[in-house]
Amino acid sequence: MKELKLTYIILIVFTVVIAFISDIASKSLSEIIIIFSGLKFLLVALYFMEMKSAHILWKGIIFGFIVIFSTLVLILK
Amino acid sequence: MSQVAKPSALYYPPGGILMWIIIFLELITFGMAIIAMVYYGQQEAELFHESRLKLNTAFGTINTTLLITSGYFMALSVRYIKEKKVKPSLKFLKLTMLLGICFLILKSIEYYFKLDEGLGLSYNTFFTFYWMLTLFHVIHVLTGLVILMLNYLGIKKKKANINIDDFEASAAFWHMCDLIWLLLFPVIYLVF
Repeated sequence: MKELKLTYIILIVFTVVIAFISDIASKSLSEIIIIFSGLKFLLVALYFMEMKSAHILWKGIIFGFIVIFSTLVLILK
Repeated sequence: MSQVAKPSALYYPPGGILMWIIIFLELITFGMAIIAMVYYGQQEAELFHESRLKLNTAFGTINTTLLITSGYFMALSVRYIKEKKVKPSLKFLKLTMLLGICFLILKSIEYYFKLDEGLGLSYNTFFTFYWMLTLFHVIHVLTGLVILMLNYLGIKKKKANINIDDFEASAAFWHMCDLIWLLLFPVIYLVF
């Protein structure tokens, strides 16, 4: 339960931080926004969905997906 | 002597293999659509930037907070049901659904404002993506709410015979709505 609470606090802090920095319009900051969002995605999948305890294959697919997605977004942006 | 883990514990993710196949298919579908949006955003950078500024970041941020909080409550509900504590599990399940409804209400208000300003589906490329992606996500949230409601009613009816696997699969579907929104939110509301 403590782990879930900590994950929740981190997710909220990340959300507020990326909303705040998006107001400072800069291309370099969009990279930070995508990286933070990727981290949020991983936190939800690993802790809220309990994939932390799943087989490494599943963790690998999740990690691979978000890395490919974020990289493509950053390349095309 | 080392303990031998059951194959199911090794290869079956929480929520079951079938649910995770659905989750990955959904993530890939949304992922490709978002990447297409980013590609068009590069072609029409000025238009996408101006259109993005027409959106209210506060709505997006509050909606993100609502979905993350509902995901947290859902995770707590699953933990409690695994510990056979039905009452707190139902309490958090109700809170999860309540926040899901709040998300839909806020999204409806946002849609109302956009339509009132004439920013409909065919206004420009940015808003075509905005409506298609967010409406498709809203359909998922609605489906998730129906699934959670069925779980809630089922648990209330037969408290002694709860299928944890079904409950976990439903929770995984709800979390999938979080995951999709976490991909949508930065691209639609923040980066252009």
